[in-house]
Amino acid sequence: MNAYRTIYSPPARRADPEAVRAELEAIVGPTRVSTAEAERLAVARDFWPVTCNWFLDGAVPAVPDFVVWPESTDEVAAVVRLANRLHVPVTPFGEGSGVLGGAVPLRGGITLDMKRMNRVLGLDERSLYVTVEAGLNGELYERWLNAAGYTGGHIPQSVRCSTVGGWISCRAAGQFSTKYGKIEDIMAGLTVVTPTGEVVRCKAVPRASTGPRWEQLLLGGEGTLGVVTEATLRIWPLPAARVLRSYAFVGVGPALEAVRLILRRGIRPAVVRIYDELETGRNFPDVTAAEGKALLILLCEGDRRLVELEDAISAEEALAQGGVACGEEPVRHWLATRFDVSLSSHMIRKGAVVDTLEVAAPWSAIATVHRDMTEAMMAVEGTLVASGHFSHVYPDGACLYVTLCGFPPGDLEGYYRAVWDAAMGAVLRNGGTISHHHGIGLQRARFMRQEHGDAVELLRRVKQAVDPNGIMNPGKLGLEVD
Amino acid sequence: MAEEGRLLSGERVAALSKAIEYCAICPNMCRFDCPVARAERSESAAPAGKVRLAYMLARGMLARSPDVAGYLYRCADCRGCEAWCPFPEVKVADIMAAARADALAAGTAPEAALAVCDSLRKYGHPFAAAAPEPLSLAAAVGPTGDAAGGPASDRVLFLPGCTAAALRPATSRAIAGALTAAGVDWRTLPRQLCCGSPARAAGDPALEAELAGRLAAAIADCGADVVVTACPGCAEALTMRYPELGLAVGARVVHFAAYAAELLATGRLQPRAIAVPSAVYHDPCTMARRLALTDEPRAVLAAIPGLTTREARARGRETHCCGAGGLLGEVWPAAAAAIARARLGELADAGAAAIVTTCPMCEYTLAQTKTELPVFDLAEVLLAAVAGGADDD
Repeated sequence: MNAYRTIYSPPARRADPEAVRAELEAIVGPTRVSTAEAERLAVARDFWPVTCNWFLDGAVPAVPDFVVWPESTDEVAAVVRLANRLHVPVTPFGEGSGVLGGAVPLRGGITLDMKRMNRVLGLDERSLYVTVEAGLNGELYERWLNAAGYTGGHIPQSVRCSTVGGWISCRAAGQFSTKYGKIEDIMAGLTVVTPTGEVVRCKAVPRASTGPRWEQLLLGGEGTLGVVTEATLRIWPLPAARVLRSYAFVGVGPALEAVRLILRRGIRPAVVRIYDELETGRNFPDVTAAEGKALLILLCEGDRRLVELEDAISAEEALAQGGVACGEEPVRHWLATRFDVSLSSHMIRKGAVVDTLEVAAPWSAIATVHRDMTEAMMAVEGTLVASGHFSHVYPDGACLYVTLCGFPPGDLEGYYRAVWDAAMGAVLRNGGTISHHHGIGLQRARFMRQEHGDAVELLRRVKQAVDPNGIMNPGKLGLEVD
Repeated sequence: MAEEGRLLSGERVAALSKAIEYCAICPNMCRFDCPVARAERSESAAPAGKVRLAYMLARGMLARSPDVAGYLYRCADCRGCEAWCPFPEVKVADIMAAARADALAAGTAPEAALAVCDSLRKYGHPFAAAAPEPLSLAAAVGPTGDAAGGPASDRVLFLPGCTAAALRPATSRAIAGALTAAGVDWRTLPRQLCCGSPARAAGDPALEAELAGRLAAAIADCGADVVVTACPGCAEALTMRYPELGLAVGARVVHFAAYAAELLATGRLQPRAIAVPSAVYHDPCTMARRLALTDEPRAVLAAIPGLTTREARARGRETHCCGAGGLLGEVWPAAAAAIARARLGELADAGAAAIVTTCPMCEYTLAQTKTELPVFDLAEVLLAAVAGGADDD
């Protein structure tokens, strides 16, 4: 007999599973619908870190009734129409790298595993567009582009374990975002199946003045407003040159100031990262010139002459703020270790709660957000570490990425809630936004009213209008609760 | 909480509990390079997906059943995931071997895995359907008896392995011919004896140990200095697995490709041009990732005048699997076939006139899959070049 626990109980009233299964099989055939325990359990969780604690303790968040693998937009539309008619919840699933529980099938129903939709549909080399299906793995996408002489410019830490559809659904950011933008900048066109089963195709155009842009509404919907099935993304020729630089500063203040001025002068390094003193010590212990300091790493890439200019101007501003040049090696070290998240596994196995909280704020507030957020998290009993780095920057501000490690003094969930409340409170008090690129999912749902104010009601009315039966990824994005 | 991991039932899996926990709570950054995950495109087929199932079975979260046990066999033992893994102790193929052993002990192993074990017990090789009898090597391969002298007076024993003996006799004959052409006075065993690795893949460690012990004793008895294998899997078992089992063969074990590179370097083989104008070399997973033999086969090809070697995009240690490892083809044939088709497509993209490789199982699998490209063992190409050659006078 199975003995796993589920954190979220499925609703008592559900559609007749045999009838649903028969209809699903009629759409996708018998081999692409499964009720096998192993398949359903495999999509019972994503990479919301607390689910790792739960899993080691014998529990999974929630289990769907069916896993369905569609192979086309039309199949997705047919499945969603069926689900809408029978009021069966639908949760889209890419590769489960989301860190906020967004892919947890809270109310059971159908999990739509999108990985069979992984084709490249077209390459427009003149316009620099590529059109792909949403279930394509990020690393395979980038490798395909590289082989054709291009880059997608979107390299999130999850690139090896995430999909294009997941990026769009969560408004993802890659590590090279200062040059290439977040996914909302990269995305040019989008195909979405709405919760009532219509197919909305937003064509790829450079810009338009045609009323509200549907793709911008659906972007970041986390599966609550429909299923992303295809996307047209902007691409770039592979860079001809790349320059790696790093500078150490006395504290994050002058480092932030240097970066602000670099961007103000129109320079767009691809990678800009500023590590606070704690994270510099943890991540770059061999950089003696950065000991006890904040480290800035820069990676400029593109046309050779432009890169040389970017490097020269960046150096001017960094040195003017007291930066000490630390050379290429710290950047090489970052490049070599940037996908290694093993430390969190070590700590979770020891019973720690580990998480990452990425927020954003304008330049006028970002330093205060860093100070207040880490102090507030440290003030919660049980917190061992709350340290940060600035991982993405813009002409008007930056993303702060805070890493948390704590040992709950009492119950795990109570500690987890308290530390998140402290962190989000500090951000909101200072005018920042509660998420830069991980999204909302389950974990951030309770902060949506504070984030959006009364506008959250507008979002709820949109949800009600496009998903009258509330079938699409129910319980996420704070659309149901305050 | 114990540092070595949580309490897991299942004797074999429990020993790996720390590695299993690391993998189970990892975001799975290796998944893009798992051939089974690429073919099946299901969460349960991703490396951590399989390990999570193993964890749930061993924790008692999930009841043991043949249905669930089948998922533990969706690993081709290609070791592609290990290149991307930050945990040196995590070896998904080893975790799956342990989980399969627990499944087999619990009576839930798939029929196809049990059939392999039956074949191994009855005939000493895993291919009962193709060859329902023990495999005699005396007639098919060449001289048997105590190992004889080779270069620098090595006493050489040639082990074709089950796959070459049963399914790719041309490979056995070509290696035998190349050794003879080099003046190596070699011997083989009278009867093919399995190295034991198919039993491990099936989930029967007792049978593996029995087969391995038998082969180790036979090698020791024949007094060989050098064992030349046709199969990377045999070489892996003899050099890496036998020490774990406490077995010693008392001889240097080398895959034919590496031995051929030595014969060429010392001038014992003098290849001439052949009719095949170009070849793409397929790195077998075990050859590249376990034995680290990626340069040697290429050196052999480079020694053949006029032969252009092309490269697949996925090559060397980042090669892609043919789909046949880990008994995937026996238990999940559709997945294995999809992987083979994908790899053939990649090899065809290299634009060569032929595929050359160094693993009889890869050869058999690729040749069985619909392809217009001929598939050769390295030894076949080498023998053609030393025995005649297109410009032979």
